[in-house]
Amino acid sequence: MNLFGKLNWSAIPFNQPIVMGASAFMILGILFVLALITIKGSWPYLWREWLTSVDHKRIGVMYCVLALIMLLRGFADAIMMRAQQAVAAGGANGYLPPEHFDQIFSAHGTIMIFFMAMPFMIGLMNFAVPLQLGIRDVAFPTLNSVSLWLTASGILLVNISLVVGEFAKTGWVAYPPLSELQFSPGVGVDYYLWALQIAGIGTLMTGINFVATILKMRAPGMGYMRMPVYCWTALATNLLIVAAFPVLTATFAMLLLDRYLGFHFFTMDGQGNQMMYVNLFWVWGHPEVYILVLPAFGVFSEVIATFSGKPLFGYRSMVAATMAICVL
Amino acid sequence: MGASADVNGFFGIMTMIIAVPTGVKVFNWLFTMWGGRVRFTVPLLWSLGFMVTFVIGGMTGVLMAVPPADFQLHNSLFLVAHFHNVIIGGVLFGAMAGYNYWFPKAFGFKLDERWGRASFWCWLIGFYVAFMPLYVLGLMGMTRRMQHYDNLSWQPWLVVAAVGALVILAGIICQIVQLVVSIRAREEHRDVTGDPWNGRTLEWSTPSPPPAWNFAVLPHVVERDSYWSQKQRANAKENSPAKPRNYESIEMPRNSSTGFINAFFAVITGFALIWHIWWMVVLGVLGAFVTVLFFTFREKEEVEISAEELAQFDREHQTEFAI
Repeated sequence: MNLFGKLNWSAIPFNQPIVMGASAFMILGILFVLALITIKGSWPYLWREWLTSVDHKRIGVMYCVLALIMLLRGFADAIMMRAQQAVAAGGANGYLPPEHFDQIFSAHGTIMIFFMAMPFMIGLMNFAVPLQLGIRDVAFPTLNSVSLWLTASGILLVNISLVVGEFAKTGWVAYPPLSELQFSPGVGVDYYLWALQIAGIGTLMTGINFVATILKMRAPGMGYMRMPVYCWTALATNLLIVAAFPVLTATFAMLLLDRYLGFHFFTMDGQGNQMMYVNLFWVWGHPEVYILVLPAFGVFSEVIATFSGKPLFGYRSMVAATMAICVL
Repeated sequence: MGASADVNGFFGIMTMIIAVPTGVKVFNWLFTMWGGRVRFTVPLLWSLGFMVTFVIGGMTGVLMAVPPADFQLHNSLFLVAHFHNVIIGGVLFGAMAGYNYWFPKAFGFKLDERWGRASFWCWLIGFYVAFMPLYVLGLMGMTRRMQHYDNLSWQPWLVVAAVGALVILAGIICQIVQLVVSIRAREEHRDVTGDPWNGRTLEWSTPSPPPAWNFAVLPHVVERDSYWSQKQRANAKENSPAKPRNYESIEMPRNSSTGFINAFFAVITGFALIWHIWWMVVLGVLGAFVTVLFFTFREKEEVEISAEELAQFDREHQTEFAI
């Protein structure tokens, strides 16, 4: 048994210049930021005021910072794909071989949904909801910090996959049988699964945190019909998170059991059923898109009312529409 | 997708039904603006961009909800164009609106308006140039995730899409510039009142940035759009003296390194699981467990903030007589 499992030097793709270039850029960027902080002597400040903070405002800002950085990474993937498709017509093969292109579109989807859109929305909710409710923090501040850093862990794992090993080539939904060991024997799908399992735990805890906060901790006198509409959309979003994310965790757990312990949930042999993965995934997937868009609806409600100088038209119907979307 | 007609019908109908509450919301937003004095700030621009873009994307979604159409369009670039239309138009534009809207509250100064407008227009135009060709390509039969293709008539559309992506890139660069410029000019854009937009909700009643405790005295809420009505009432009784606040010491949660250290072990565990390094998995899980255990045994969970400190902060930020 090898001391380092499947890990050895060949995991680093020295023979792929584009990947090596991107990895070098990323590593240099990280080193630059770390060096800057060290030179300015800001580590104690950073540790005390940000990294160990349980303040919802700080946590919200950190989520948004992570999201903005991952927007750059996901967008780089997008530019690469557009460039490839613009040239690879007729007999031309473009500059990205299929194995690489497949990782790029998978990473693009995974990053944009899980590590850009989700953290951005969660970050904005973290920042604004307690302030709008007139309270001092969320129900479980330390749990909030744990959620943030678990999301960051998922992000770090996905970025490590650029340098050490590979990413999934299955698309961001990772349907079997392509995502099973038989057709994806490498570590790519494992990077995908574990990064999302870890970040998913963080998100589920955020869901619990915010449902508790919004239902139980509003300022004195703030009945449900006096809450800002953004808080209503935050409530609907977090209810959906609590309902949907466990399904994703369970689905990925089943795929992981297939890959690690030879189970047959979704394999082609042993009476596995690939359609079950598809259905289970989308039991999570469809609520997920509403989890993403409902907070955005809330932001628009706030912004439009503020900059029109008028109260939001039809508060009650907005609340009803929000909860209808949640239930539907 | 391999399901029976009944299943397809069910999901088709459900998809169309969910367009109804969404439509209600769009009309409510439009009616909110009707008859109001609209200020075309950057957050509002993003909201207007959202309304147009999201509605178009939503309509293509309802189109694909019709099972015979979906049979043709499923997993084509039409689908890709649709979901980017609603995700970018909805989620991303919402994120940018929220970012521009709440930035002054979080950091105490506003973001530069000009660069904000530039980034919005680049994103909006870039989005349409990048994704409208994909609708056409979907109808022409191009599927998603293609690394190369034979049909040369698709290429001009893809070139246009690539140009659109570059325009979006310009938008992102504008946002980066906006941030840099705003930080350098932060004293000019400083928000001293805590309420840079003449807001309606309670977050605007705090200083920018708010203290760790948000509210020295928790507000008592009597109606919707609480802060707006507080301001109206305060303006109405301008001549009567404001009552000073009654401060009591409060307890705030103590900072904790649990989250950060736990994440460190989570990364080690994840990495080890991926590469099948079983001893490292054990170490990672144990480390995470011990970290949380340490947390449960801590004696002091809260930090007390004295009434004097609250009063001192309010005095410095001139919010001691705030409503």
